[in-house]
Amino acid sequence: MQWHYSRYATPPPTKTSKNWFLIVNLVLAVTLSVISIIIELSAKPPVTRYDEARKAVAQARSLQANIYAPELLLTADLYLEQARQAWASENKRWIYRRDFNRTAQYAQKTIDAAEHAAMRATTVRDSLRWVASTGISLVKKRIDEIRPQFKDMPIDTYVRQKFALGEIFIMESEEAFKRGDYRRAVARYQVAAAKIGSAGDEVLQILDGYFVNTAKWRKWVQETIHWSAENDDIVLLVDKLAHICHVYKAGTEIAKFPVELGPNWLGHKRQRGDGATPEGRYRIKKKKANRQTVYYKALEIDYPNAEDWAQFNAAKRRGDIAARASIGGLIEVHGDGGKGANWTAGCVALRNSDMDKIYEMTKVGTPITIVGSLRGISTNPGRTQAVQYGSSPKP
Amino acid sequence: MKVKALVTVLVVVFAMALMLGCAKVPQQELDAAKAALDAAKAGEADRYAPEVYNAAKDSLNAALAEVEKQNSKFALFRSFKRVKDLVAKATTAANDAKDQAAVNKEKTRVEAEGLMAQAAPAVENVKKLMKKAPRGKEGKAALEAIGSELAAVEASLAEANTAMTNGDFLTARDKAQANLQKLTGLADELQQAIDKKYGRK
Repeated sequence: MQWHYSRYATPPPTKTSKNWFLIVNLVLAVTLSVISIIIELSAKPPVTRYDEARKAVAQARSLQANIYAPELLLTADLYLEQARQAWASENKRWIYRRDFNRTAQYAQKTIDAAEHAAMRATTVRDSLRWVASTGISLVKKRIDEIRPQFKDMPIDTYVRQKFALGEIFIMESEEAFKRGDYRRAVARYQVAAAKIGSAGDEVLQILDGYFVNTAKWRKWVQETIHWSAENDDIVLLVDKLAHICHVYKAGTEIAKFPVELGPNWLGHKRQRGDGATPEGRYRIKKKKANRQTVYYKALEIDYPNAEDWAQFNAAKRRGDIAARASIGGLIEVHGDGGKGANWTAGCVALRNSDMDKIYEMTKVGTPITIVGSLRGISTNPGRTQAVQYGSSPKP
Repeated sequence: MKVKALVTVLVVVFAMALMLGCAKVPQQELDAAKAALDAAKAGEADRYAPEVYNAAKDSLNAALAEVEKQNSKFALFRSFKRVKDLVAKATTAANDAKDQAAVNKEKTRVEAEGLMAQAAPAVENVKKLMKKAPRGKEGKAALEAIGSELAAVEASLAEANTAMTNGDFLTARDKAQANLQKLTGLADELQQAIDKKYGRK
């Protein structure tokens, strides 16, 4: 039979073409099945593990590991990148030849490093916050302790600047702390602590030198108070460090007044014009009021005494002071105080209202003992013998 | 002949399906996201907008993971739609981080500059008060002490200026704030001395 083909007519399928169709379909089905089996049997990428690793890194970063555990976070980041590269590298191989073990291992390493970073960041952050908070409090407390001494003590400019910088650094530390930058807060507080500590050490060094005479002061103080007790009389006791004038009667303190001294009050007076207030056992040699003094009222003391002269001459011999230096004099307890500074030329200044009281309590011959400090010295009348005062004529 | 044509058509269709199914990694978008993140980092977004910056970084990491996840699949089954979404998210977050960092940085700069601007007249004020303060023997030592503290403040303010110039506005702000506090303290001390002096008169 012969077929007549028209232009649009589709030739009826032959038996051969049906066979081919079946074969092609079969080949396709087999191919797809083989592909499915290969896919099913091939290694699976560690998607979940990798996601956990990524999330662990994100978590560590959110806990500020980039600030408080940067090395560990960097390690975690590197492991994550290595895991991704290992994954990408395996993806380039034939599907049935892939092996994602390295990817999984790096992902696990990422998780470990990231968790370590997160834990470390939290610990370091909390610990830095504590260190900064405690450190700031301690340095501020130290500043509060030292500041009053700084205010009154004759201290070198560079030490003062160091102290002021310490104060500024501690304020900077507080600012950093307020905005949660604990690493910076600690760094700033450490600088402040070093500066304040160093300035404080300088003060302590000065005070250590100052307190060398404690034994001598103790003797003077105990003898003075004992004299007061024995003679049932008034004595004045000036504590230069505390800037206090104590009044004792019959061995018992009956009043105390704040005083102001010379600008170089720290240490014994060595010569005229040194701005220092002498230390020693003296007596009032003249009481001045009205036009006798420009400082309201005054009690002139018998400085220099024999001991002062001995020290002055020895210093001259050693060359510590100029050969033409004068020992000075006219040391008084006077009024016009209350200026809030050590401003006298070596005298002891009281507020006028206090001066009135002390003027009334004392007389010519009243003992006045001036010491560097009463710190650590008992002001009990004690068992020591009362002594005579200075070298000036005794009352 | 017809059978051959049919087979050819099927093979072509299969090959086309393979080719069409083999979706492409949105490399251009990925590169753009990386560039946006680098730009954010360059703009100190990690310091001035850390949360948004971290979110951008994580989105990019998630996108890169998704790329590999898709690449692990048989070519016919790959789809990079989620990658594109994550990349878009990362790019947006990176741009936001950059913008926010710029805003925050500018805010800090303005704040630091404002404090620095306040510090200069505060220094002048202390100097003016020092001239008014008691200058006699009672004030000499105190004025010397305040003078040395003022010198320390000026040195610290110079450091704050350097930090400003270097673009370290947080440091500059901290320093300026601290110095202002110190200057206020010095001015108060001087004012008290002056008040005391005039009060006594």
